[in-house]
Amino acid sequence: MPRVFVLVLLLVIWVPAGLAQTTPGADAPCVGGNASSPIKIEVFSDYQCPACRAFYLGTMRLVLSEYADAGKVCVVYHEFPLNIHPHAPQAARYGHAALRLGIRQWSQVTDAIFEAQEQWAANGQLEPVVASALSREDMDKVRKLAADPATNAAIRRDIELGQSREVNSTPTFFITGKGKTEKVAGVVQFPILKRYLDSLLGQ
Amino acid sequence: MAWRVFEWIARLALGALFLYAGYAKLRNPFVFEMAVDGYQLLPPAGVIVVARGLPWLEVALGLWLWSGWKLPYSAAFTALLLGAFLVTMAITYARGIEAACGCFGTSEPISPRTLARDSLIFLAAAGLTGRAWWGRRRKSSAESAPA
Repeated sequence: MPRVFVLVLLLVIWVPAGLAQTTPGADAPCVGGNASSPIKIEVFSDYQCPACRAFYLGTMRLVLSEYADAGKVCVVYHEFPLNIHPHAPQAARYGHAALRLGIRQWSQVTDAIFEAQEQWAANGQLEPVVASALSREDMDKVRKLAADPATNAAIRRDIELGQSREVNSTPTFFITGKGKTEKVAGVVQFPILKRYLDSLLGQ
Repeated sequence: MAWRVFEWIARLALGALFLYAGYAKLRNPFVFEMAVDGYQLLPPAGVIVVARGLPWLEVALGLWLWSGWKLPYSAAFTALLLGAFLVTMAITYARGIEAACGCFGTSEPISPRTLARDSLIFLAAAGLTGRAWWGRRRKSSAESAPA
């Protein structure tokens, strides 16, 4: 009898501890769609990586407009600045700061940063690019949030999350739907990704 | 004798490898489509044709190797196919494209490790081809020799 009591006690202590454990960065918000969408796409991306630019502008923007806006897909973007890109950490700070302000601001800043990638990657002048996408008021807020240590900490959590999920290159994305998760590395064209999303949605 | 053992082992091992590779891709064809697309070599229609056809070709080739029927031809075809895979992977890697190898239906990226592994498999297939053609030539010259 005392043994049973000890076992129950251990379970009572252990189960809530287990439930309380969360993966760092896993609670990131959807930048398109909502948390109850049947499919979740988590992208680990680096603003200075040309492949991430092609993937965002050519594929993910269409996923956002055709699937996320319809509530079919929740898109999560995780910052994963690579060491080989000197301006990527600063771009990640601006991107994350914009996300803290709102999804609309994130979208505006991400569009601007990726579209002008070649330019700021060469001269390091990121601030004018970000400023061109936002109102003066929003830009002031983004500037402050980008300098906030909490932004750096959030980016670090994203990087740790990527490392724990064996992300070795960018873009790498995880598609979760129908109870399973598939990891995909590299750029995928929209018509090909669309076929997989439609198969998950049963269309 | 040693060559005969090599022929048997190589034939069965390559056959098993191709059967497994084909099966792994057929299990999740849409994921394999994304892996093929990652090589950035084909338009969407081409990606779909390759991704849908290749796994069946691999299964058929695996069964053909296992059957041992017309081995010089099945071995040569295997070596050619593996050579084509290897060249495609090497070009993609040299272009700096971060793509998944797609070899066994997983998200394993193209790396020096995957290139070395595929080179070894290609060498085994090339060796089997050489051995199968040599054996065939020896057999036919023995048959045509005057009694």
